[in-house]
Amino acid sequence: MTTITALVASPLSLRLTASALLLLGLTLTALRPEQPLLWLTTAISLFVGVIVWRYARSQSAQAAARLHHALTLAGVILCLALGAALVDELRLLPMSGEDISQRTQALIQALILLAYANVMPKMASSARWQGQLRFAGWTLVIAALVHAIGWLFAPVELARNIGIAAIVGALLLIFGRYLMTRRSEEN
Amino acid sequence: MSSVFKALADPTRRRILQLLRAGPLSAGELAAHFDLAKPTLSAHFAVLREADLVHSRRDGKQLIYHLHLSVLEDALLGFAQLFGIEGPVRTQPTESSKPTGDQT
Repeated sequence: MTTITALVASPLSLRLTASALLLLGLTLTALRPEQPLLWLTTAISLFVGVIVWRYARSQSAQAAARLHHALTLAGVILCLALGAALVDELRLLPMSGEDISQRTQALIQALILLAYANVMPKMASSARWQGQLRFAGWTLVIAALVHAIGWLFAPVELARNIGIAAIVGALLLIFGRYLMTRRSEEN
Repeated sequence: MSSVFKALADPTRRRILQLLRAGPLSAGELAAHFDLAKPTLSAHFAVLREADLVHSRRDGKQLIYHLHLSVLEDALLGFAQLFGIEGPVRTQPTESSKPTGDQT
């Protein structure tokens, strides 16, 4: 984990990610000239992010470091999604008929949700929030696992419905529990 | 991660974590649940703090402990409880976990 953090924080990481994104985008545009928006929008977003990062660097070192970290991760996620689209386009896998790009993006979302939900209980600043965040963490971890398993094994349409139902259901449960706790505290 | 496994391998430390699930407790309140010498218990607290499984804050003369488990650590604690995973049970603090002088 420390190695990954060090890699992401290194000054070269953002440049490497941006270069990979550019290369993947150009290759995909050459293969799918009818879909230039596939990567153009994301490349523009990243470009805007880099401008914001350069501005933040002149203001505060801490804000710049956090932005650098976030932009690099966003770039890596985009590269993975574009890489999956390229694999799909080149029919490199036997399951190319399926939408690999869509599945990869959904799995990345599930992984990010899993990572954040896992540390959620550690963010509790008081005993009151400890129980709430513990419940929220567990609920979201289970939802992320259901989301990931759905996108791994189910057909795309069904996987989409499973994923949405899992996440929305988890959020409703968390909100419902919060309201119930608040009501019982007031009585 | 190895510090987490080391911390969860001991039944006394797992019991401390179980007690803290109900809410923050002072070192004295926790000590009341165990028939252990104060330095031994302090060593257990030190191992738990080192693994970042508990946090402590000073409230007057007391140290108040509260749980600081991620979902994965919580699940590992559950598994360790369920399957009774245990390291060697020690009655005295080890060299690597000397008492830190917690006040009760």
